[in-house]
Amino acid sequence: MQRRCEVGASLLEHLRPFVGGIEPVTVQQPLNGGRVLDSLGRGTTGDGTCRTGWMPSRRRWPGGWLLSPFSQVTVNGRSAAGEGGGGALAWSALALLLGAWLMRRRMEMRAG
Amino acid sequence: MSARAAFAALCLLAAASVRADNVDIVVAARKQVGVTLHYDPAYRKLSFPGGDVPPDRGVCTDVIVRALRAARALDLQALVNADMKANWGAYPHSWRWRLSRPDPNIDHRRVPNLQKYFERAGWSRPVTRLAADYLPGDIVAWDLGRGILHIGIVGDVASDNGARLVLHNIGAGAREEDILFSYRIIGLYRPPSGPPAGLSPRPVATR
Repeated sequence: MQRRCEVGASLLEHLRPFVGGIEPVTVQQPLNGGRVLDSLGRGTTGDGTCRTGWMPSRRRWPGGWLLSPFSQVTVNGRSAAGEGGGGALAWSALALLLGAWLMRRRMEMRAG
Repeated sequence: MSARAAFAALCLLAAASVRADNVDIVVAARKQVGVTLHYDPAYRKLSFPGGDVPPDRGVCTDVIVRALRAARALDLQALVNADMKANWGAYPHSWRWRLSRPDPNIDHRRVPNLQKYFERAGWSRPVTRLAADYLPGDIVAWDLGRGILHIGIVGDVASDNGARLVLHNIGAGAREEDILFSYRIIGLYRPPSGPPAGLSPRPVATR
């Protein structure tokens, strides 16, 4: 069964013109093989599942793995943890920890 | 001696003990107005003892440190550092900044540390809302809200509302302003009146 998959405007879609290391994910298993989605990350699979989103490209940019936690893959409209989805949560937690540490350092280093 | 004369003598004695003569501290603080033009809380490595940041900048605590140095030769950098070394647990470092050892570059430039030192030196006075309870040269600490503390020196000039002006640096350099009751007062400290410059201050009691 062919099914059309639509991807809403995500942050990465807006970033994509500026970040060369990102490219659309494939729509077939495994994610790093098969047909690449179109420029908006839309595509179809033969088994009826929709896999959409963005994954880093190791091929186009060796540092693409840095962005892998940001990649977002949805299967039938739901975030697919383990396939890139959910990684943003880890990065958010890391950013929070870093922010808290910086705040503490700032407190330590200020007079008054 | 008549009872009336004895009572008068007692009143005079009591007044003398309460009314500290700390105008020299006010004069020393006022000399910073027009010199310290900026509020700069940045951490700086200071010489020790007697270390200071450039005179054109500083924070509220620097007004106190400089005034007591100039008027009384009291070096709060050295005094606070010595007391912290001997009584680390008495100071709020462990819970407030989670530091593990004294830092003479910044400890004396923090309001809670100065408050604790003054308290331990026996300078504390009851906090009131009466302008008459705040004498020239008194050191006042405020809570500005959201955990921000402030400290300044009571001047010898009264405002129209009767409260004395305060010498302080709250963000725009050293100034003399009518702020005594503008914020919640959390500490009133009265340095003992005038040991001549160069003498050692009263030692801080240890616990």
